[in-house]
Amino acid sequence: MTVEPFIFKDCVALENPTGIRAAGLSEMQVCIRMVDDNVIYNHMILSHLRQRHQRWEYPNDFAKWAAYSLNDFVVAEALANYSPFECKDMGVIRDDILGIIDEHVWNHGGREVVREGREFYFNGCTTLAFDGAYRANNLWELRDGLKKANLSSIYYHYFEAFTRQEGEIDDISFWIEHNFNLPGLVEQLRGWDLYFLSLDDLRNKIIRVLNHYLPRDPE
Amino acid sequence: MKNSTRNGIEAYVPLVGEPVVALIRKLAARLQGVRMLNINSTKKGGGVVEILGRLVPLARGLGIDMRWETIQGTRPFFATTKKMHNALQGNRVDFSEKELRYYEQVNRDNLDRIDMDVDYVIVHDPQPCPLVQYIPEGVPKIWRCHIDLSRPDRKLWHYLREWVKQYDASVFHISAFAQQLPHKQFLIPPSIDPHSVKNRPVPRKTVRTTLMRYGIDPQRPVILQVSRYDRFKDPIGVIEAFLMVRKHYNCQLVLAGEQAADDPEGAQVYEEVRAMADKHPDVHALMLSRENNHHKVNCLQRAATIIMQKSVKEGFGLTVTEGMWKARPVIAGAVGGITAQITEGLNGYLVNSVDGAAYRCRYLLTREKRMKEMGRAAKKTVLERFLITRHLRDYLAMLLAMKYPKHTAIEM
Repeated sequence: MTVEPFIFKDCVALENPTGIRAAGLSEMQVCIRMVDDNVIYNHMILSHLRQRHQRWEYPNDFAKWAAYSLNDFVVAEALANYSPFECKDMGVIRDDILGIIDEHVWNHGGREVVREGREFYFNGCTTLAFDGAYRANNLWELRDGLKKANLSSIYYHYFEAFTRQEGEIDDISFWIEHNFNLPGLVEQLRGWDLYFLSLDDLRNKIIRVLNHYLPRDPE
Repeated sequence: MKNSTRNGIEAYVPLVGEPVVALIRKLAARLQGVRMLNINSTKKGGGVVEILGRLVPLARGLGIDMRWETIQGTRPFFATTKKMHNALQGNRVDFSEKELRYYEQVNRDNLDRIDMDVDYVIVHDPQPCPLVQYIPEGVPKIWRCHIDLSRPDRKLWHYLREWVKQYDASVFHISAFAQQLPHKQFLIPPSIDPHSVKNRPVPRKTVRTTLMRYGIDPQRPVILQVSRYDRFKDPIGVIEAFLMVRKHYNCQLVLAGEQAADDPEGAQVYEEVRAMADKHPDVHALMLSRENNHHKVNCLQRAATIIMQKSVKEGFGLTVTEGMWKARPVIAGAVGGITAQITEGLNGYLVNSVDGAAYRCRYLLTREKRMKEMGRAAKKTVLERFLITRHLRDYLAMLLAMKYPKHTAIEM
């Protein structure tokens, strides 16, 4: 069986501010309705690339703002507990977020506003993806590439992949599934609650699983 | 600066790692020979100068023809642009028609001096902003704003916006500075160079010698604010906060700044600060001479117990970044780009008043271990987000992205 090489992609993401800002939940509802899908993607998915090494309590920008700027921990928790990876359609994600905020405003009110300078700023994003320096023809090379690759590669092949691939499937397990007969390994690499992992955590977790399957280097 | 310019991108591998540098090389490979012109108003003093002074040689070392030109102005021109700076950062200032026409005239007068036969033009800050009208058709034009534009004076912004709108893109330090504009905007925070004279390691003995030269006691804690003598940096507020702290701790305050060529107001502010400082032997208000001043700042920051940056308006606050790189805890005004650097309680404290600055100084001076932890976290923040390598990467990515203005996901 010919193995198609796995090419590690690097990516760079630039934020594109829109100049739109919200000082409270009611304004946020209005703004979320009017911004492009790309803005929703930036605040719900791309936030993982910006966080990189650190663990974080609030995995998307809306939840983080609700907690740290608005000090409304109830809505922050609800927004944090929502996983955007179950749905790839930014329009649906937008509606879900609006639903969470609407529910909260209905039950708890949402008239509080933050002081000047603590508003939520809506930004879109531009991502550029490149073939990275590493490629893998087998699982050993995959593991070594993972160790050396830029953290943006990890983002691209997991978080970004979820919005590209059918189902909640990352590029790495997809490549293994289609090139090697290792259903056990594929199963172990899937089904993780990625939402709370930093890119460093995720890289180490994949390497640990691969190490378990690869006790020796190839001859 | 001379030493750092000898360092190519390879010199950063030990700090940021090979994958980061490899990505920069990859981006640069797609921009080989591209002529990219930066235009600002001075080559002496200030954060923009420091950044361009490093970005330009680094990009050139990677095969990109990055150039840097400055416009020349007169004293009245810089007095007007300083007023503009203040107004864009929120002060209410009136401009006469004569001032605005002269501002445009000086820009026009600079045309013959600047070769615009290039592939990209990046114009920095308001001083050369009207040059946009002279940039040849088809050349992507980018306005790079380094100041806090979160609440600009309405009248002046409406005037300046007419120039800004003519650019193809704008770049801001943080989201709060962005405006609603008819073109694409980018967020690119500024950066520091870890190999520059201002940031590279310095032997302890040299640090000590520098302190002694300025009459600063190396045995006692030092609270340091490095910045231009500018009202937005609130040097008077820093002295007031220090005097509150001094009642409880036997410490010293050092204010250190130089005078930028495009800031005529600075001398007056310095005189006011000096008059206050002269009344207390533990307050040192230093006006650094241009000669070797980066080395002196480096030594002072390494000697500091706490770095203060009590700005009331701030574009980004690179002196905060520099202090963090030296693994020092920072107490800084909760304004502008400072809020993007400091995570409250993790790598420093954000304050909103003279009392807040005094309180956080006292809090930290009682907790030596906490200061060390914060310092370590501060250095890590800079390593990950605010070094020149990230800045260069973002610039190169922006130039590539400008080739596909309608796309948000670009597979190269």
